[in-house]
Amino acid sequence: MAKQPVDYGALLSSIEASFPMVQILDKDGNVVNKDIMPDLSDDELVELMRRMVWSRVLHDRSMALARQGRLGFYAPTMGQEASQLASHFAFKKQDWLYPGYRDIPQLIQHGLPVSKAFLWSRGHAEGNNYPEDLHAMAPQIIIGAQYIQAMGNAVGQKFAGKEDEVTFTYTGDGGSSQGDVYEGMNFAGRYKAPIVFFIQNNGYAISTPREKQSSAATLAQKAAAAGIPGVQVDGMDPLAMYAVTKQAREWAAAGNGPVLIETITSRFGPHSTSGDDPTRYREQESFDYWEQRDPLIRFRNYLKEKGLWTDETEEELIEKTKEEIKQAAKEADQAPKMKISDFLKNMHGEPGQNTVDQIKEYEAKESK
Amino acid sequence: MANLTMIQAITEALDQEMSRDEKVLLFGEDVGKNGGVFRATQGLFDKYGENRVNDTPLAESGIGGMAFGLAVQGFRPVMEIQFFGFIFEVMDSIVGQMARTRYRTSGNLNLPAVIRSPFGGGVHTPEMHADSLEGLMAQSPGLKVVIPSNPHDAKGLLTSAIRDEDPVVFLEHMKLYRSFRDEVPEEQYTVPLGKAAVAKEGSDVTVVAYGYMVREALKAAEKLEKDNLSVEVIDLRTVSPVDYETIIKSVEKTGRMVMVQEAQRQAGVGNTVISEVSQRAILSLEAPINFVSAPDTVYPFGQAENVWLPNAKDITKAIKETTEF
Amino acid sequence: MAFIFKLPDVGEGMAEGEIVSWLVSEGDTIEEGDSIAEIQNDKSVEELASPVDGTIKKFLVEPGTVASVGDPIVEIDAEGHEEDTDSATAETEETSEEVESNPAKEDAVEESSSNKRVLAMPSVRQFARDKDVDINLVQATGKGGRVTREDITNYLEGGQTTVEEEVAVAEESEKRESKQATSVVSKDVKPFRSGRSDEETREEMSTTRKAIAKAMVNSTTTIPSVALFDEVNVTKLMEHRTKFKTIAAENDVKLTFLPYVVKAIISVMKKFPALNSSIDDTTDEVVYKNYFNIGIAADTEQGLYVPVVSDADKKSMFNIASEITELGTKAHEGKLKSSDMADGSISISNIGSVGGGWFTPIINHPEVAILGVGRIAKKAIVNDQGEVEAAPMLALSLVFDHRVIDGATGQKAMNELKRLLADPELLLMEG
Repeated sequence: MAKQPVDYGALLSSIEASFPMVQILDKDGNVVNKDIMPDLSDDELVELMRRMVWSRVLHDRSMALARQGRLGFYAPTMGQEASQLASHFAFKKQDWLYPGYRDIPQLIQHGLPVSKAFLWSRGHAEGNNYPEDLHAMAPQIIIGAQYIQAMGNAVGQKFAGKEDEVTFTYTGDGGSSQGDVYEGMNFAGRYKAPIVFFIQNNGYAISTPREKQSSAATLAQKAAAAGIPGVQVDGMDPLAMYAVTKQAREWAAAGNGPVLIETITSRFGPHSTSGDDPTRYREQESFDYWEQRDPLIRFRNYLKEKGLWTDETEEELIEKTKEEIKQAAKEADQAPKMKISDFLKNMHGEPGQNTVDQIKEYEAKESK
Repeated sequence: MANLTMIQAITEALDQEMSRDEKVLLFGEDVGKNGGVFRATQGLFDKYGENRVNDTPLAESGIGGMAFGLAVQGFRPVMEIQFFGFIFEVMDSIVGQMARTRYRTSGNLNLPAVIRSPFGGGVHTPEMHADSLEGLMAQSPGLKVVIPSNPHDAKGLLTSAIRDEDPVVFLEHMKLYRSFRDEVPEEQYTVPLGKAAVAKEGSDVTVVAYGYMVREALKAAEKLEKDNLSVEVIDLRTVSPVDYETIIKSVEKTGRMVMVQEAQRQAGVGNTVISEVSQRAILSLEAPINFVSAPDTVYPFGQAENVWLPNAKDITKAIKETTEF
Repeated sequence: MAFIFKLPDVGEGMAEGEIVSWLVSEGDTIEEGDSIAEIQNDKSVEELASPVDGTIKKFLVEPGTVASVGDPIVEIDAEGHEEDTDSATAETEETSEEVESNPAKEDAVEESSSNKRVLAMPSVRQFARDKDVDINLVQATGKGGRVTREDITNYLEGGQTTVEEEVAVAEESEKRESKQATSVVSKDVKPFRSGRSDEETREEMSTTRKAIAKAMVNSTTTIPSVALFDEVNVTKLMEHRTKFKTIAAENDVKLTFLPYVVKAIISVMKKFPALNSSIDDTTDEVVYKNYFNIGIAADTEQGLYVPVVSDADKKSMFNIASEITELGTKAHEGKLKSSDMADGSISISNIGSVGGGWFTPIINHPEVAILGVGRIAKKAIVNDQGEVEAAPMLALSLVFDHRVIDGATGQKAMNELKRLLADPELLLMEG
């Protein structure tokens, strides 16, 4: 018999082998890959840790506020601090962020006031009314839609000849199954647009586990089909996250086109505050496994080792953050009552004949 | 004044607006070198270069997302969906995203994108090419939906659409592309969005139509003129938001109205217009409003098109029913 | 000072939740954010956190009970909350605006006291309102019994009888008084006076009776009428009727002579279209009707009505027969609608049923002719063989509008009618 034209099994294995996971710190904070250690000053290292701790507090307080009925929809972030904050740490203020709804911490770090984040959660228009210098979109609700929009944004940056300015966007392992995610990467590749795509693979799309999303051994390899580089990173390792992202940003900003980064991470809690009970679909072992890999544990150990961090520093930061958040929640309480007439006015620049009467009608009601 | 077909008028509008405003970008499937499958972008690739007229990958959703992002970056994207039946692939970008952006951001961010697309029956296309889906668009607050009926309006409306600060769905009836010519001024001009036109004045009955059906309505009106029936034909031009003032004014004059649309009967633009006129002008009506439309089936197989599509004869009959009520 | 904590919606769209357990006790000091209870909703168990710092004063809900979102569940002594009814849930409640109660639209209903629904386009109704016309009183001449704009104009100009008036037609003319007698109606109305008023009773004329009177006067003052009297041998007709009466009865149809007359008069009108016309006095046009609606005068307790067998030319004898019965019943029950009486071609007045002979019925204006059907009586006649024989003779009176029908035309029409009634089989062939 003639030789088989293709060895399909070997082909599959070779794809998987092409996407190894990048790691610098192991779960206990030991440096395992010194060669690629990012060039961060002590202050920067501390700042990164501060942001991650801040995010954990934001998570805790958001969950508490939600349980008091003072927050609406909130997607928990505990466990994803490195994946979110360390990646964001590599971008610049002028870069454009297209977040998913779990990416509130990055949005706030990019410049969104916490009170506005809370208003968004509660369902108030002011939550999406961004300061002019904030280069970010409101959190995308349609999973994957942010990928194509971010792509368009990046194509625009390229057409406009913007220098040292890129776009970055996040989705999850569930989102990676969306056609828009492929279309976004494929267009961005075709236009060589300056954009960094993230797939935060936290293991579950609500209750559906990662392995049910795709037979692909990695989600990073999805980049290959679009002809763009893809890489898998330990999403619980802030230094690896930062290092890989920083390089991706430089690659994109230099005109080489997009990069896809898959972050291997975990959410420790439920999908959202909308009555999700993760014990229905997730074993205790899974929580235990991932909680040992908490990015805060390893980075705390690493920084303590370097003499840059103490428990007191952390305690102080937690208290300070709690206070900030409390103030933000109070500020959010002060938001003016929304008016339907304003909604109507914001449908078009100039109201159509259909809305003219409706605006009058609601203005009359609202003036009572 | 040049004597142009509608497709030529559209190309001219794009060309002149691109040359006036360098932020205008054209993109879509085959719009570059090939000039679009209907040649709407003929010559523009050579004139403006690949950065301003470019072929996208074959993915409507991606095209929609690209338009969104480009608009955020300050461009005036004019995206082409090769045939409007493909719109379902890009519904989220248009209805879920573009249409909502101004509202979502309390007016902080607007989305000046134009979605151009050919549609309409009678040219024997395969399935999913000819459907009249303007009703789906018109139901979405935040979108403007424009359908020209002649070359002159096409140029002026498209120019307005590109200059508009909000997303505009601009639908071009394939049967109108090359079926007749019209005097079209060479210089740039605009035809306002949201304003209907009185295509023909009359005093006995008002026929409200848009797109290709305006042609059929005019045929019917001409025929009835010989029977001493004076028919006023109103061309909506923008089907969302609708110019009710012009319609009401006419109906108050004639006391009778016939709505004509190529789309199926259920829901849709015609029903909205009829509903509004019923409320705003009922006391002027001498007869119930008549409605000419296609039947409520899926857009038919090519060989059944001509029995399915409404035409001048149907319109004539409806007008008579109304005037003889 | 107590903060009342109301059960918040801690899931998307949670409506109620069971308080599984209190995680604190009364008297416990708590901080904002401390978990105080476990709530089971239909999706999951959620911990409920306190929105305030303070001391648990009193549980308002026992563990194991289900509370609705918004129900007070615990009182917390807290700084700055004095009898505070406001709570975290207030925000979610704000959306439910009070529905403005629409002050009853009853006054709109009051307007029309009559039960019947007038058919008219809103524009015509508005026109009537603008002109202060009660549309209920306007006679509808439009298609399908609709009141038209012209009807209202006509009504205003007095050129129209009212709905009530329309129903009336002559039959009192049994007295065979000449038309001149009734036509001399002075516009100057004088009271009735007699020297024996103590022997008189006075009753107000009913609306219907007034309407009838008005219609009669209108007809006789408008129409220069001519009357023709004739008779026809109905031996064969009687035989025919006897033959089919039983079959008709089996079909619940009462077969009288009237359906034959209806059939015959239609045939006559087809030959003499002038009989099926009206004069439009405003335009001096003769309006020829291409439909055959035959009015059948009905004498009822309320007065005279002329319901119409519409499109009788398209109906079978049995259908006509049962429709006549039906319309008669309706007339007696006062259930006739104006549409039952609209657009007549010609009317038939049957006085034979109560023993009458020749008479001059009054034309149901704007129709131009009326046929009076008298009794059938045995008379001695000379037959075709020159013999005298006793034959059943039907008395016929045709009164017509001389403005459109000439005398000879009238007689020719009468002759044709006689021919058809003499031999009912002709009706089969020609009717």
